[in-house]
Amino acid sequence: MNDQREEYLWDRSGPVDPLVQDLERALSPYGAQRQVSREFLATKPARGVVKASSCAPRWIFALAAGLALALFASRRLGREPSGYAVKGHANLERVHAGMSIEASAQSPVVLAIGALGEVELAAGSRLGVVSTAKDKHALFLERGRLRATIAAEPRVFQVRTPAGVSVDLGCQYDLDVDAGGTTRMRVSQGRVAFSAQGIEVIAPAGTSCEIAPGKSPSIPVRWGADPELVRRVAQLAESNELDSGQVAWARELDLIEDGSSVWNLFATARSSELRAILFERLAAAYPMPAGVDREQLLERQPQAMEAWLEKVRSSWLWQTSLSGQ
Amino acid sequence: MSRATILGVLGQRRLCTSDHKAMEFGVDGSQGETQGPPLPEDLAHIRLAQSGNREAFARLYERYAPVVHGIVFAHAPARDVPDLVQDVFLSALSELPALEDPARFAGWLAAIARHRAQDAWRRWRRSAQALAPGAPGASDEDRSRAMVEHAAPASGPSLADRELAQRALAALGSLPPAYRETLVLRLVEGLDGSEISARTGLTPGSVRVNLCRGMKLLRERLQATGAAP
Repeated sequence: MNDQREEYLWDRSGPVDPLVQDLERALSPYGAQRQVSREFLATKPARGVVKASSCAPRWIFALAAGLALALFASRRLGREPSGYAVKGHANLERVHAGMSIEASAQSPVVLAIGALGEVELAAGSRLGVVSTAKDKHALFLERGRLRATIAAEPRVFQVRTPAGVSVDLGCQYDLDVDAGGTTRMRVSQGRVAFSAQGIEVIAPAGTSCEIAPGKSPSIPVRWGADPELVRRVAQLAESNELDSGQVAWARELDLIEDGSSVWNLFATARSSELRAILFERLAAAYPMPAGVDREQLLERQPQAMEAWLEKVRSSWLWQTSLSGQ
Repeated sequence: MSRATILGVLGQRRLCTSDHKAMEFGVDGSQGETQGPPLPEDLAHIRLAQSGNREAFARLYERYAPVVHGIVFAHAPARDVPDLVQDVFLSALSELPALEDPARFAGWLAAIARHRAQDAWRRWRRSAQALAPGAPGASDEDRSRAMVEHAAPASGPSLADRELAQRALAALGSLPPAYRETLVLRLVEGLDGSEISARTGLTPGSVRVNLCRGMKLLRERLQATGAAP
């Protein structure tokens, strides 16, 4: 590499290195700032033609991976111990689907969830094992507290409670079921889907929410949020019709600090007026993905919502980094 | 970056071919050389944030998010990147009061990001190995695939750019970690050399060597696939 190319690579001074410039333009949409900088917009248009065979290597790779997986599964089937290893329990070393386990009043127990992670069951808590299948790990927290630390494909691991279901999206979180069955969740890493009564909210790290038996989940709010904000968010979620004060307040909700609350309100609100207000606010901040339109989102079609969420949640970084500890 | 430092950087030439000893942080994120203090406004924000000022932390977030995103993007499976960035800043917020020397903030934050990313990478490998030993994901060579799969542009690239990006990401995945990280910060996050130095704690000389040698390798690998002239 000569000096002149080196200077362009260093700080864009000196003569342009065409390859570096092409790479800047092609790769910048993958960056944290999520926008192409002005200098790239001013550069030359895209060149070249995409070859029809360009996807072939990935297909071949995927096929090879699938075959390897199938071969491995056929060889290993039935040889792995089933259930979960237990640490810290006086009588149990392993639990299987259909069994329950109770931690003593003095000490917690830890369940190893295969290669996915672990669940720490707090002292005095009681947990049932619903399913230990590779593609669906399900527990039932009857009472007490647990902390799940899971690294798995989204939606492979879930914890049910008397009030609802928490579905892991790759994360660490705490669940607490009180004597009345109300479940409180606090997410410390990643994201968790929390659902009941056919309503699902997405709680990112730095937020908490709860479900009372027979109710839908509350809207996740950041840790340490003003109780007045929590109360007003809950009121908005429950309202079928908004008064003028609620309309004004919905228009002022902070898209950065309370971004995940805004999204979940939009995703679950009963009021069509509230949905429309929040849609307009979100759409002004986050462009809709290709192939997704306003109607699909206002109708909350799952695939469209999933695609948009991937864009919207990038701003939740602000919220989680600013949330209380 | 100070003018004196910039002048010092400009004094270094032909680092691709010289015997200059580059800083190449280890796989564990450890660093060799470190640079001078960060920009004065960063220092002020760091001190304020240490005393619990959230607005100051927000400003730090604004300035360092591209660096954290870039480091995580360079070392972790693409699918985990958004969540890992959150985790890094949550850790930083929690641990910042214990940081004794605010001047070390940039290197400290970068180290957190590298460790989190490498933990995620190891989890990904363990998971892949548990499913199928020898299958994709079981070796370092599969970083290329991990970098490409699930890496989603925010919006807008043309098909030609998208294909170039896919090939470039795959090639970046095969580079040594220090080169890969520095090139991601430059080409993906759009930082220039002096910004990379100021916000990662690496010396300008190390950044320049990593950029220069990394780009040389990247160019060769793209040329080998026909993606570059």
